[in-house]
Amino acid sequence: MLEWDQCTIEYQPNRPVFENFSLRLDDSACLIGPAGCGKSTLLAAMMGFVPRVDGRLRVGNRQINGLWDLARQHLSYLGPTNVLPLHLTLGEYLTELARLDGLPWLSAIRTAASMAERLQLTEALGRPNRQLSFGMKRRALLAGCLLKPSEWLLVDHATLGLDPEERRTVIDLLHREASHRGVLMTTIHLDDVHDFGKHVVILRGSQVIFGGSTAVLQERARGHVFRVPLSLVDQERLGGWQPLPEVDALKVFRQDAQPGYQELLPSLDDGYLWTLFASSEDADDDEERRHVP
Amino acid sequence: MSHDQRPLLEVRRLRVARGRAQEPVLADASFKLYPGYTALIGPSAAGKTTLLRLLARVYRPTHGHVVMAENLTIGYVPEFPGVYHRLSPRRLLMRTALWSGLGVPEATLRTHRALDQMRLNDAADTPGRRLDEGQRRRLALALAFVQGADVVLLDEPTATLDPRQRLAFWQDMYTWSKQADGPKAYLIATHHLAEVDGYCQRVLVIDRGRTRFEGSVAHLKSRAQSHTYWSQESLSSPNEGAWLEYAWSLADGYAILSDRPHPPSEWKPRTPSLWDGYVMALRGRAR
Repeated sequence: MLEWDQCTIEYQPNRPVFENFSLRLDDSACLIGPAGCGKSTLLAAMMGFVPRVDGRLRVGNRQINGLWDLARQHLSYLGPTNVLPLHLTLGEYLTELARLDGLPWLSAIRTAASMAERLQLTEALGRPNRQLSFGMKRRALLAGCLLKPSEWLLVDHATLGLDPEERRTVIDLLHREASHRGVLMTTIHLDDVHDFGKHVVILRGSQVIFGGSTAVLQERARGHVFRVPLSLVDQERLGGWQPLPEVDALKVFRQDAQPGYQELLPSLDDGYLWTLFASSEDADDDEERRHVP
Repeated sequence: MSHDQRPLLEVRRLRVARGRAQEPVLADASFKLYPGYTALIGPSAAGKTTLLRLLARVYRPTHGHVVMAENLTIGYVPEFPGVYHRLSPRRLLMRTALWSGLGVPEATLRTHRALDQMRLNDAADTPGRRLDEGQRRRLALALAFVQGADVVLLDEPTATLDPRQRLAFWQDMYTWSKQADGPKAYLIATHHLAEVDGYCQRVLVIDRGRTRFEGSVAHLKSRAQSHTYWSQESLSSPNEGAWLEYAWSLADGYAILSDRPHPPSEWKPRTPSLWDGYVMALRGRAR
């Protein structure tokens, strides 16, 4: 279990990113939300990387506020940036990490090699980290995280900059990890949310606006997503809209159908967007309500 | 945007070699660019950015050529658009419009429209150094707009955007292409297959500098037809002569992509996704 209970989280004094924020996760989950909603901050706060966290943080039944060493014993964390020791080879880096976890040399070397294989990095084991591509660095860092048999794995933007095959490898690996330990990942891609297939939490304006399964999120948009021929698009009443590959129609998000509207089966993206549209009351959501030319 | 089926430009056996060893970054790229949205996809380091820069004339090819109408204009929006630190979007757009040969009244009008269209009015007089990433990206799009580009090349324009920002980007693109003098074709490098499926008409797959597929999105998916399965169990039985086999976890079982001639009876057929078609194209041996 991971829990943020009545937490106020600040990078700068008197400028809280979260205020009296509570969230409890009993199982693996995926955090998603608009840029700046606080996804990365929540993970960093749990690791003790944010200057001020008031309230209660829990990993399992342990309260960890201020006890960051204790927190880090039970958590593995992949941050959003690719920082690796550039003078080491990938093999040396992973072996060192395995050694730090207490494995004897031979065992550490074997474990490093096996982890590299799981992330399709075997060919890169002998290469200096500085020569790795962006995607390889991301996977190398994840391999380092996975080496530690922690209770929870916190992965911030796991698939950032990865190509489609790399993304599939990483998400599939996280999915498998989630069968024997908690995984909390943040992402900006609904494909990741779909393929990870666990509990979804949508944050917006530092508040939880949805918590549930991918199926429930997708279902939320049922009856609210339509294919509308351009000739029938009602500018005055247009809510959210999305271009389609076909040139003579739009996808339109609306509370109710209108004559001539063709209802579409919602995708997970539709469920997410509808949840955002339905929760938009503030001014910045004018963006979604822009008129069609 | 017009959707007649004559290509706007044709790339013939383009090759670029770089460095002392003259290693090919682009080995043999050939394709035709048609009106509408074409996605450019491929693994990391496949040569996508090099291809876009060649078309934008940032690089010169070592071999091969690009055939296009003499008066065709091309706009290029790099992955990380730069700005002039002291120049505001309004002044930069105005100067660009004038340099591209427009008179003052037309340049002023286009600048005004570009600022409006790309939602840059609030930042119109802000020095470039103070623009955030989203504003810089929209400014790069606006620069292509004021030049009246017929073809716009975009390098991973949505890589760091969340779903709502991505939607706003595609709304911008749609709005722009609806203009009478808007671009006729877009070539968009991306790693995001859902975006290709949701917005693009055509797709170009390159790998190691070579074209692996060129055609419609539906056609790419169909290349994986009869190779896609669902199973309750992951792969366990031996891979009987298959050259390609993937399995990945789903909420209720496993998705499998395999070209086994005799798949186990417990594997149920599954509708191919764009990812399946993409992998088939990369392996280059789809039947």
